[in-house]
Amino acid sequence: MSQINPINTVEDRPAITLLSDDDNTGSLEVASQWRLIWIKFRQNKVALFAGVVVLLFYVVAVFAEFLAPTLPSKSQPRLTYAPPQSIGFFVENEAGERAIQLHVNGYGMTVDPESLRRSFTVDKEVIIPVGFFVKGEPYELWGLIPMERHLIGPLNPKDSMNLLGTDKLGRDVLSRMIYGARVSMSIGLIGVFSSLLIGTVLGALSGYFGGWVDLAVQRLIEVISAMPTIPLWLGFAAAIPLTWSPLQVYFIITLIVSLLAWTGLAREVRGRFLSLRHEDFVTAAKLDGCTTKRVIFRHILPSLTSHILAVVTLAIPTMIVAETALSFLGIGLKAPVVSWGVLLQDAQNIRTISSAPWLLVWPAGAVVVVVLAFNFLGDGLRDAADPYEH
Amino acid sequence: MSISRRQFLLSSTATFVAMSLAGPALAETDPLKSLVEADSLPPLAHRLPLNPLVITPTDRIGKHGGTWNNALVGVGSLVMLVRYQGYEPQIRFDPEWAGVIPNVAESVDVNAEATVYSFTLREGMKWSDGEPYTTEDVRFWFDDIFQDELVGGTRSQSYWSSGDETATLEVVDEYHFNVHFKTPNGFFLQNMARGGHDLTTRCPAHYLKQFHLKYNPKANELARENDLNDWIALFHRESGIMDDSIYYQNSRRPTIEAWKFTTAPGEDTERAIAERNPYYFKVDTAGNQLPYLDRVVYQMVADPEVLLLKTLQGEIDYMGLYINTTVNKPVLYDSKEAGNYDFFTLKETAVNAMVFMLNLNHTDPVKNELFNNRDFRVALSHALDRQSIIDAIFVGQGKPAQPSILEGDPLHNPTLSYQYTEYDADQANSILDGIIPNRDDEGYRLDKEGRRVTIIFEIDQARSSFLDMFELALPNFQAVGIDAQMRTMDRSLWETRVRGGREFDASAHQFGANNGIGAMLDPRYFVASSRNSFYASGWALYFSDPENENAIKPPEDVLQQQERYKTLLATADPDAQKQIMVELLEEAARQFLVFGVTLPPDSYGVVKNDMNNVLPSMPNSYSYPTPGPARPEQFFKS
Amino acid sequence: MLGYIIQRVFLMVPTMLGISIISFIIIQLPPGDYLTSVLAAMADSDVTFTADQIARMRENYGLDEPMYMQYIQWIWGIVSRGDFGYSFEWNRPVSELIWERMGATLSISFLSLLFVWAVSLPIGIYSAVRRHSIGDHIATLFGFLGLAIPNFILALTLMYVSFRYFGQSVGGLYSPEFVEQAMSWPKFVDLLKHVWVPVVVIGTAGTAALIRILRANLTDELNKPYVLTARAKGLPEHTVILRYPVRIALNPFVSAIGWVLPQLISGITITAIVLNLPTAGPLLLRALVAQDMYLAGSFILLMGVLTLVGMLLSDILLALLDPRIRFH
Repeated sequence: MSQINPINTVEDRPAITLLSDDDNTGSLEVASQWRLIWIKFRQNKVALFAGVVVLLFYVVAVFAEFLAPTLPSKSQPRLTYAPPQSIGFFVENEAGERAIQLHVNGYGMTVDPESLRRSFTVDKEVIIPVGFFVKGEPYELWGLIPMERHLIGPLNPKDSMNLLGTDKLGRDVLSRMIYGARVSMSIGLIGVFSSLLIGTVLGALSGYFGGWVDLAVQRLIEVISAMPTIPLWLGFAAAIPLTWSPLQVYFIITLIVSLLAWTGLAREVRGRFLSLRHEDFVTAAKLDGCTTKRVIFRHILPSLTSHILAVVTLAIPTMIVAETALSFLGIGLKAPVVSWGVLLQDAQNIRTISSAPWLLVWPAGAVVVVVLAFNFLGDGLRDAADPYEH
Repeated sequence: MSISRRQFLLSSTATFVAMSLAGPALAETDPLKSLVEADSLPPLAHRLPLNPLVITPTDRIGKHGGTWNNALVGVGSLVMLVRYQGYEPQIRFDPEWAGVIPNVAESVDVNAEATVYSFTLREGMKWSDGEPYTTEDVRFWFDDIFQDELVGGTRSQSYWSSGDETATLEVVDEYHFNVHFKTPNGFFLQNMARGGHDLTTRCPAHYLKQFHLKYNPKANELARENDLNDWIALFHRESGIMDDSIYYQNSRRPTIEAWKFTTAPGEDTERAIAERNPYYFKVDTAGNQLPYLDRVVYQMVADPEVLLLKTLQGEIDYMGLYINTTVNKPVLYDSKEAGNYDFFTLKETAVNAMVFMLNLNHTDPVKNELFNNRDFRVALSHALDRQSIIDAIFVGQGKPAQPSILEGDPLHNPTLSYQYTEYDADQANSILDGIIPNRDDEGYRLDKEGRRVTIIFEIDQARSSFLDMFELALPNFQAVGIDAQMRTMDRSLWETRVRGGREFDASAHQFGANNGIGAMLDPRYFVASSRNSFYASGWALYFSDPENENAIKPPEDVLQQQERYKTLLATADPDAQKQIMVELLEEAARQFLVFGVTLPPDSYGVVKNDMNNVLPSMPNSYSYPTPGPARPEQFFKS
Repeated sequence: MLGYIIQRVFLMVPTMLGISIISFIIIQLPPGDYLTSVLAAMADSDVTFTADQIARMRENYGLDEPMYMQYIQWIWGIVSRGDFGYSFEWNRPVSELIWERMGATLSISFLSLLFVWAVSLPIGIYSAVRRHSIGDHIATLFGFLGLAIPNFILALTLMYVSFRYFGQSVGGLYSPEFVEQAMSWPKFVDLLKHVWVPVVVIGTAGTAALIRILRANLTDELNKPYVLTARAKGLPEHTVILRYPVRIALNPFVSAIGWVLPQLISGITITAIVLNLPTAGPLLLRALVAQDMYLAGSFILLMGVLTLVGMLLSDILLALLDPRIRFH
C-alpha cells in the first residue's frame, strides 16, 4: 500500500485540491482529500487498530530472520510432534529461592513402538534458560547481512525451544510461521498489485469509452467470472515449467491468482467511471482540450484512488486465502518454500487435528487474524474514502 | 517360494481326496438355496466343477452371509481390486508366499528342462453365467488376443517368452493344454502367480467373441452403434484387456472370481457392489461353497482422510491400503476399542524405504560422467544422515541400510546391505574433493565445465513420505557442496519424465523385493533389466531390445550382470538359481548403482474384530497381491 | 423488457463459446493426456506397454487427432445432438455422469444460499442500523471469520468434531445403513444430520460479502429524506426500517445472487472433496487431474452456463422488483 500512496498523492493534487478550494471555506475545508480521509479514518478505532495489526504483520515479515528463534528448515528428528512449551519467569535454585530467569521446561519423551508415536511430558527438572538477542543459528538478513543474533531463543544454542510446538519433522512451528508470513503477506501484495494494474486499465477503458470496448471487456469479465476457478488454477499451475526454482514458481503462482482476481476490481472501476464521466470536472477537462489519456489518468483515476485503495485492501485477504486453497489442491507453493498455505497443507489431516492441534491452530489463526485485519482496515478506508459524505 | 514339481502334484492330489469326502454335504449349505428352489439357478452340485478347489480355512469353518464393507480412494485405484477379488490365476502364491499352488488349474506338470508346462483344468468349471470354462477360453486369449496383431497383443506378458521366442500353446482336449518354450523358462509359474499377470482366466470366449471381427463379421457396425471407431476399440472396452480399470468397470462380462460386480465402479460413482458368484469353484473343508461373504461393497471416496475417519468409526471391515501410514498409526491405535477393530501386520517387501537414483543414462554428458562415477555415489551415500531420517519419519524404527535383501534371508548379503551407510560428511567431502574440488562463492562444487553441480530430484508428489525424507536429506547433500534440490510433480508427469525420459537428474522410488526369491523376479535395482530400472532406462532397454534406437549399450560389467540375469531366467533348478543370484547380488554390491535409507519398517492394516479367518501377518506387495493369497473368499463375519 | 432479455441471451452466446474454448485449452495445458494417467496407473501394477500398443490405445480414445479437431467434434456433438462425449475414466457417457451429480450439487448450493440469506439478512440490517456499535463489529467479525477460515480446514475440523463428540458417521450425505434404503423419515433425519456440515462450511464463506453489501446499501437508504419523514410522522422504528429501506436495499442483494451462486458452486469443490459429497466438484477435480477431457470440459461448460443464467435471472428479477432499472 505504502508504495501506491505517495505517488498518487503527488499526481492527484491539481485535479482535486483545486476543486476543494473552490467549493469550500474554513480550516477543514482547505485540507486535501487525503487529509480529509485520514481525519475520518482516524475516528474509526477498529479500522485504526486493524491497520496497526496489518503493519505489525508486515514488520514481522520484513524482519523474519531476526524474529524467528531458529531456521524454519532446522529439523529435530527426535522431537517430532512435540507440544508447545510455555515460558516461565521464575526458577528455584537448590536453596529454594526464587529468582527471575526466563526459561522453558525441557521435554520428557517416550517412544511407544506399538502406536508408533512419541509421547512428551513437561520435565520440570530440566530448565532451559531463555533470553533476548541470543546467539543462535547463523543467517543472512534479507540474504545480505550475515548475523546470528535472534530476538529470542535459548541461551545455549544447543538447547531446544519450541514455543508453538514442532511439526512432523520436529521443526519449530513459531519460526516457520514467522518465515511463512513473509511469503503469505507478500503474495497478497504482489498479487493485488498486478490485478490492480489489469483491473484498473481495463475497467477504466471500459467505463470511459463504453460502446464496443465496454461490450468486449464485459464479455471477458463474464467469461472469467463464469469459469470455475479450480480448473483454471489447475491448468495454469500444471503449465509451469518444471525446471523453475521455487522462487520463480512463487511469482508465477501469485500472477495466476491475480489473473483471476482482477475482474471484481475492473467492475468497480468501470462503475465509477460510468458515473464520473459526465461529472462537471471531466467535462471541464475535456473542454480544456485534454487528451483522452490525460482525462483518464490525470483527472478521473486520481479521484478514484481512495476507492481503489479500499477495494485493494479488501482484495489482499482473498489472495491470502486463495494461496491456502491452492496449497490444498497440491498446486500451490511447495516445500521447501514456507508459507501459511504450505503449513496448513501439512496440517490438513486427522492426525494433526486429533493429536497435534497446534500445527493447525497457529497458521489458521494467523490467516484469520490477517484476513480480519485487512477487512476491517478496508472497510474503514472505504467509509473514509468519501470524506464529503456526512 | 522355490517350486518343486512334487509339491504341485501333492497339493492337487490332496485337493481331490478332500473333495470326495465333502461331497454329500453340498446341497445343505447352498447359500443360494432359495434361487435354486425357484428354479432360477441349477442346484449346487451342477454349479461346482467335479473337482472343486478345497480351501482349508485359516482358523475355522465360517458361515454364509454378510457384507464386506470396503473402500477405494479415487477411481484411479481400480487396479487395486485385484487384491480383494481379482486374484484368480491358474497358479497362485500360497498364503506364506513360500511357493505356488494350483488355483484355477487342477494341476500343473513341468518337465525337467522347464520347457513344457502341462495344465489340467477343472472339469465342469463354469463362468459366473453358467457357461463352461475350458481350454477354449485359454486358446481364445492366446490366439485371438495375445497373438492377434490387431488387438495389439496384451500388455507385458514377457514371461510367456523365453530367450527371444514366444511360447506355443498346444490344446490337448477340453481340459488339458500344454505350453511349450524353446529354451528353459524357470520362472513361468511364479510369474503367472503374480498379481494381475495371468490373463488366461480373465477372457470369457463365449462373451467376447461377439466383439471380435474374426467371429462376428458385424463387429465394426456394433462398435459404431456404441460411438466407437472400430471393433478393436470396442473389444478393448469390453474385455478390459489393456487396462485394469476398464476390466473392472464392466458388470456385463462374466467372471470366475468369487464376487461379480452387479454395480461396477463407474456405473455408480459413489459405490460399487459385487455379489457372490453362484458358480465359484471353491469349497471349504466342510463342503460349503465359497465365498462366505454375500457381497463386497466399495465406497468410493475422494480423500483418504475421510476413509480414515470411516475406519476409526468402524465402518470399514478390512483395510491395508491408503490409510496405513506411520503418521496415522497413533490415531488408529487410540480408536481401537471405539471402532471395534484391531491391527494386522503387513511385512514390507520393498527393497528400501526409499531408493535414491541418479540418472546413469543422463542426456547431459558431463552429468552422466559424474553420476557414473562410483565414488561420487559413495560420497553422497556417506553424506546422508540416515539415523535422523529414521528417527524423524519412522519414529526410530529401522536401521540404516542400502537397497538389499533382508537379514535372515538365505540370499542376504551384508556388504550389499550395509556398505557406505555410516554418516560421515568429512569422508564424503574428501571423496568429492578428489573428483570435483572447485567450489563457487556460495560453497557449491563446480563440475569440470565450471557449472555448479546441481542435482534435481524429481518426485511423484503423492509419495508424501518421500517428500518428508527429502526435506531432511537435501541439507545433507548441500552440506557437502552439492546443490541438491527437489521438484515434486503430478504422477503422470513423473511417469513421463522419469519412467519415459532420460533428461531428469535423479529421482527416488521404492519397491523391488527384499527377499531373495522375490528379487529374482524383480531385480530392478541390482541389474538394469526392466522399465522399473529408472536409473538406467537406456541400459534396461538394451536388456530387452538391444536393437531399439533408444537403447544404450551398457559398460562391460553391467552387460555381464545382464547376461547373468538372463542365465538365471533360463535356469530351472532352484539350487542353481540361488547360486546365480548370490553372484548377481555380489556384483550389485560391487557396482553400487543406487543407494537407500533403511529397510522399510513393517506396515499394518486394520481389520474389524468380527471379521474372521484373516491372517495376522502377511507380506505387503502388489505382486503377492495382499491380501489376495490370504483368500478373502474364506473371510466371514461372526 | 422482452427485448432486453433477448439481447442478454444473445450476448451469452459468445461468452459461452469463449468459456468452452478456454476450458478445452485449460484441460490440455498440463503435459500428456488421459492415456498418460492410464499408463501411470498401470505402471503401479508393473504393467508396461510397447509403443505400438500405446498408439493403438490412443487411437481408441480418439486422442490421436489434433486438438482443434477434438474440440470441433465435441462442441458439434453438444450443439447437434446434446451429446457431451464419453468419459474415459468412468467408461460412461458424460451426460449421465453429470446429471447424476448435478442434483446434489444444486441442492447443496441452494441450501447454502438459503443459509447465507438467513444469516446475512438479520446481521446486515442490524449492522446498518447500529453502525459502529459493538454489536456491529461483532457481527461483522463473524461474517469475516467465515471468509477468513479456509473451507477445507473448517470442513475437516467440523467432520472430526462430529465424529469425536457426536459419534456421527462422517462424509457423504447418509450413514451407511441408510444408503441403500428408499427415502423415509429416519433417512431424512439422517440426511439432515449430515447436510448441516457442508451447508455451514460453504455458507459461511459467502455471508461476509452479502453482509457488507446489505450494510452499505441500507446505510445509504437510511439517510434519505423519506426515512426522516417517516420517523417524523411517528412511525414505529421497525416499520420505518423494514417497510421501505430494507426492501430497496435488498435490490442489490438480489443482483448479488448472480455472483454468489458461482462462488458457491466453486467453493463446493474443495469442501466436497474433504466431506466426500456426491457433488460435481470431486468428479471435476479428478477429471482434471486425469485429463478426462470431455468430462472436465462439459462440467466447466455447464457450470459456466449455470452462472450466466444465474446472472441473467438475477438481473431480470431486479428489473421486476425495481421499475427504475427498466427505464435506464
